[in-house]
Amino acid sequence: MTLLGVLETTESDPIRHSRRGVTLLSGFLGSGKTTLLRSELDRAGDKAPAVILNDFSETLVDDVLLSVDGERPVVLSGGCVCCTRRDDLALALAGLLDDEQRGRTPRCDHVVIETSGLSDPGPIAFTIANDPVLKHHYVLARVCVTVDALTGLGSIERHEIALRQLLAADDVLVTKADLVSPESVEALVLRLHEFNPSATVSVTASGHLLRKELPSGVSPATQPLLRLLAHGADTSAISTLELSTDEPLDWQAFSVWLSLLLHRHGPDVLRVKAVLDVRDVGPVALNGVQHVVHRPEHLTGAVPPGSRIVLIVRDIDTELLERSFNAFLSIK
Amino acid sequence: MLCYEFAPEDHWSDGTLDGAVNELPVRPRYRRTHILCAVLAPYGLAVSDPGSGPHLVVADHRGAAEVAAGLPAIWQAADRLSSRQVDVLDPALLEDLMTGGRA
Repeated sequence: MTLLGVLETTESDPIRHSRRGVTLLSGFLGSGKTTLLRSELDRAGDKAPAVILNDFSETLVDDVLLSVDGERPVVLSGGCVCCTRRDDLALALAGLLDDEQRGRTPRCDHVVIETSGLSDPGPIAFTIANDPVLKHHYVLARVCVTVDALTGLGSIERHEIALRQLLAADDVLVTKADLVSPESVEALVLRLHEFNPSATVSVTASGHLLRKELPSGVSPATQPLLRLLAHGADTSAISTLELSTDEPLDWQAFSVWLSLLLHRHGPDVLRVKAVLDVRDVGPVALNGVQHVVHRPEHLTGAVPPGSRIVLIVRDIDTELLERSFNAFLSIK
Repeated sequence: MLCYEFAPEDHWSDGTLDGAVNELPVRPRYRRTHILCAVLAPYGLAVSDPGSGPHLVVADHRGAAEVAAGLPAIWQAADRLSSRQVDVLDPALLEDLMTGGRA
């Protein structure tokens, strides 16, 4: 069992299989990303992924900690990947390809990017998905986000960037669970499910998995999950909404609706994750982190009937949003 | 493809990874145009399909028109051509859609 999924083959279709999977390892400052990655690299052994490391400070120690057989990871220092280092990230990923094609390194089917604790995963995902060269060689496989069992909840409630990281997660990894009581861990896991009902939540200690919980689904709450201080005395309200329909989905109506929602309210749509039963196509998965939506993917295997869409939004009236969804799908 | 047509970027709304890119098959294309007409009509805009290439034409009632490829470009064109912002949460739009354009 791997925590970051670097040894798992999830790419069932040949188009995705030809590209290298990228795992973004995100999490607020000091939340245990490097400890987790070190354990993962130890476990992976010969199959260790390539690693790109970004640190906010100029002085680095993590690259030494993460050396595998003397091979240092590619390091981007002096700023967050999301704001000042997009070009560097693109160059680093292109450099890995170059090394591989020149025979300097063997092909790595997986790359882990450990982001700075102050990075927003959204723009990083955008860089990978939209760079004209990289998008043919890399595909974002998952966003893993570490949450410190001791201080994580406080960071999420006080720092918007920590919240953005959590909402972008496909897998949330609670770290340092051995340092708090089981009751505290339980309460934290419940709260994390409330924030991001589309993510799995794993509980870890010292880089080892203790237990893993599947996505919870949205609980029927009418109040916003959290009010963040925004400008002065103003607050911004984060809400989660699950939209569903049992009828096969009209893709054209849905895509027109979602694209207009993102066009008009994109900065306030923090997360979109959906399993859709598309008419004449069948089940597909759709995943979006902030304004970056990836192409839908066919799902194979058993999928429950109907369509389910989880949206995490800021300062948007969720009742009006649901009415809007139904109105667009009602277009004859 | 005509000289004014730039190749549109890949967009998630064009379908699954292994599907046809850039140019939608006829039926989904007709359906998309029909839905865009319904959404933009309350803003005084019409959408038409020239029938070839990935582009649609967005026009107002005074004859001003823009060619747009892909949904993001269509919303940008609509913003420029309409005096009101097209909004997915606009109660007047939702009322119009729910009543089949009779609002």
